[in-house]
Formats: sequence, C-alpha cells, structure tokens
Amino acid sequence: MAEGRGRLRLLAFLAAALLIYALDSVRALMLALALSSLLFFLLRTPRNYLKGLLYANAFTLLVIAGLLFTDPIAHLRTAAVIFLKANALLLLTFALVLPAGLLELLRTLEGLGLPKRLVLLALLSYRYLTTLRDEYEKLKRAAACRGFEPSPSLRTYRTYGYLLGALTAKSLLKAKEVYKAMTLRGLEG
Amino acid sequence: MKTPLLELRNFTVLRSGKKVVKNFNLLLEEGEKAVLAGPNGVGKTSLAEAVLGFLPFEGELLYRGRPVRTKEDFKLLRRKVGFVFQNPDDQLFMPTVREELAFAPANFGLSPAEVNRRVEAAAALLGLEELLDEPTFSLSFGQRRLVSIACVLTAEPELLILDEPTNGLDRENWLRVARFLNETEKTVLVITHDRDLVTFLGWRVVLLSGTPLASSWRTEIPDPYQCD
Ligand SMILES: Nc1ncnc2c1ncn2[C@@H]1O[C@H](COP(=O)(O)OP(=O)(O)OP(=O)(O)O)[C@@H](O)[C@H]1O
Ligand SMILES: [Mg+2]
Repeated sequence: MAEGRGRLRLLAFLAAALLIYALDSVRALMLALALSSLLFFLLRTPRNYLKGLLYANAFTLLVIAGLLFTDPIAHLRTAAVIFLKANALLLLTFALVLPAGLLELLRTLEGLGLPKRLVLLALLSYRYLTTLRDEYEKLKRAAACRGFEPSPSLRTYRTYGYLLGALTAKSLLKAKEVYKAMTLRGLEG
Repeated sequence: MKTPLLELRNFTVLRSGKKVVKNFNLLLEEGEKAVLAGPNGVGKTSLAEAVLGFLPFEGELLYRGRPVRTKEDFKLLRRKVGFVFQNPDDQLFMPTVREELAFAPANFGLSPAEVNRRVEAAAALLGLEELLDEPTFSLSFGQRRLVSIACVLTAEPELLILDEPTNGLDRENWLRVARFLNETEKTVLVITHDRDLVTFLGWRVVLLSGTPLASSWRTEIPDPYQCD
C-alpha cells in the first residue's frame, strides 16, 4: 500500500517535472508554480524545506543577475522563465520526492525496474557524500579550534580553499587505501 | 579557595540525542595536570568535543568560574584551550608544516615576526625543524601526530587537552612528547590508554565511567589507573 503510494508520487513527479521542463511560456510557468505551491501546502510538506528553497534561490538569483547584467532587455524573459521553472521544480521535488527520504526513493526506483546495480551505486555515492560532509565538518572544527573565524576577507577565502584542497587530497588518499584494502581481500578488477 | 580553571558539573554530553557521557564532574586547578582514562567508546573524545563547544551538553561548564554557554563564550574559550585531536588527519589541512603551525597565531592577528618565533619554537620542541617546508600530506603518521601537537602549541593555550597524543610515536618522539607534558607550565588534560605514559607522568587519573563497560574495565587495570 505504502509502496504503491510512493510509486504513484514518483510517477506523478516525473510526469509533472517533464511537463514543467518542456514549458516555455511565462504564463504557463506561473500556473505551474502556483500548482506546485498548492501541492506543497496541501501535502503538508515540512516547512523547513523552505529554507532549502531559499538557498537554491540564492543560486538562481545569481544566475539571473548575471543574465540581466549583460543585457537586461533581451534577457528579461529568459530570466523570468529560469526563475519560475526552477522554483516550480523545486517545490514539486520538495512536495513529492524528498519527504519519502532517499532510501525510500531508491527502493521505489528499484520497484519501477531500475537496475539493482544502479541503485547500489546511488546508495554508495550518497554514503560517500555523507562521509565527505562529515570530513569537511571535522576540518572546519579543526580550523575553528585554532582561531579561524570566517569573515569577508582574502584570508578567509584562502582558508576555505585550503580546507577544500585538504578534503580532496584526503578523499583521494582514502579512495586509494580503500582500493588497496579491497584488493587485499580478494577483489579483482 | 582559588577558582579552578576548568570545572564540569553534572556534565552530560549528547550525541544525536543519545547521552554518551552522563553526569560527569571534573575540577582542574590552574597549572594542574591530569589524565583522563576510560575504555574505548566510553565518551572521552565526546567529552573533549563538548568542552570545546562542538557537541551539545547538559549541566555546567565553567571556565575560571564563569559559565560557558553561548557561541561567543565558546569562541573565547577556544582561544584559551588547545585541543589535539585523536586523529591528526582530522586536524591538519594546510599545505605545508610551516603554514600548519602558523595557522593559529596568524588567525590571532599576531605580527609575522611573532608568528615565526612561535613556529620555530614549537618545531624545535618537537623536532620538526627539518620538516617545516614539507607538504603535510607527505608525512608519516607519527610525524603528522607531532605536527598536530605543534600546531596547537603555537596558539599558546592556557589549557591543553590532548586526545591520545602518544599514539603511533616511536620511542624517541614518545619521550619528546612525554617530557614536554611533564615540563610545561600549562594546565594539561591528557586522554590516553597508554599505560607507560600514565606511569611516566604520574599524574592524577580521572576515570570516565558510568557505562556498564567501565566497571569491568576498572578491575583489570594495573595500579596507576586506580589512584583517583
Ligand atoms: N561520529 C559519531 N557519530 C555517532 N556516534 C558516535 C560518533 N563518534 C562516537 N560515537 C559514539 O559515542 C560514544 C563515545 O565515543 P567517543 O569517541 O567519545 O569514545 P572514546 O572514549 O573517545 O573512545 P576511544 O577510546 O575509542 O577513543 C561511542 O559509543 C560511539 O559509538
Ligand atoms: Mg576517543
């Protein structure tokens, strides 16, 4: 029963997302945004997802600002389309996909016939991303322990650069170690 | 009576909602040195992380008699308290050893001359002079351990908390670290399983217990661990 509902939600999402993706008229997109918002509230989506919407919009607005900066008149319509499309899709995702959680989503996808291997791969990447985030948090703590306080300064940007660099170096080294460990335990390929 | 430097009262540490340390009490006078011991997983690292403001806690944390609660309080506290992580890899992120050691004093806005003085001093103390311009990631584990200690020393903290500082060190470097711990004027809390170190230091041992594991662990530990 719950599985069926998950499948239904996902299919509805895919259909709607494709539609929104294909839409190009500002008026139609406005309608789509209104409908997504309605769905968002009707399905009682956790409100804290709105924060995610805010972050995503910071990015969208950056892109739009870039467009308008080069040629406001010519790009006004494109900017509106981008903004409406992005938000309609985001609200739809928040309402239909996220609440189920990633694991649920992957299980549903598998139920819909997605190869097991691909699902496993997605799961592993998710695991990997979480580890990466934990590692990053640890390094940020290490920096905070030694008096680092983010401020809009060159020093701050440089420090973030080093943190990201260290993160990359570490994950590469770790990947190598994991590979070694796996070969030692008889994995071939 | 003098105000203690660090005091934990009924300190309970939470890790994703779970209480990993329960009702722990600790008093550290200024200049005092102590060992914090306890079996794997009893919450020693979590305790230290909570003291630095990285994990939520219940109860009271007092530094020089003043409660530490807000984000601002912890920012100030971290200037006074140096923490050497259990795993050097979680602590080091600068490209070279020199930059790693300079990170804290440079963040404090000290003059380049002073930063340099501290870097050289810490490097000399831990025998890292030759490695100063090496990339941090090319070092061996033991070398990284030494760098992780040195990079906290350059912050010149009042209180030093070290999580397993002798882990992975050879005899020579072990002695370097152990001697430094004994000779420094700072207040020090060492978290360790290293029985040789506990014997060498001869400090007060505080046992972190409260979980079922701890009671069984206590009986099998030789003398130095039972002196609290
Ligand atoms: N990152 C983490 N996420 C969730 N739980 C954790 C994490 N780290 C530790 N724990 C849990 O918190 C408890 C205390 O762990 P902690 O690392 O503080 O112990 P410890 O006394 O330092 O052990 P060790 O002697 O092995 O270093 C353990 O039961 C552990 O399972
Ligand atoms: Mg630990």
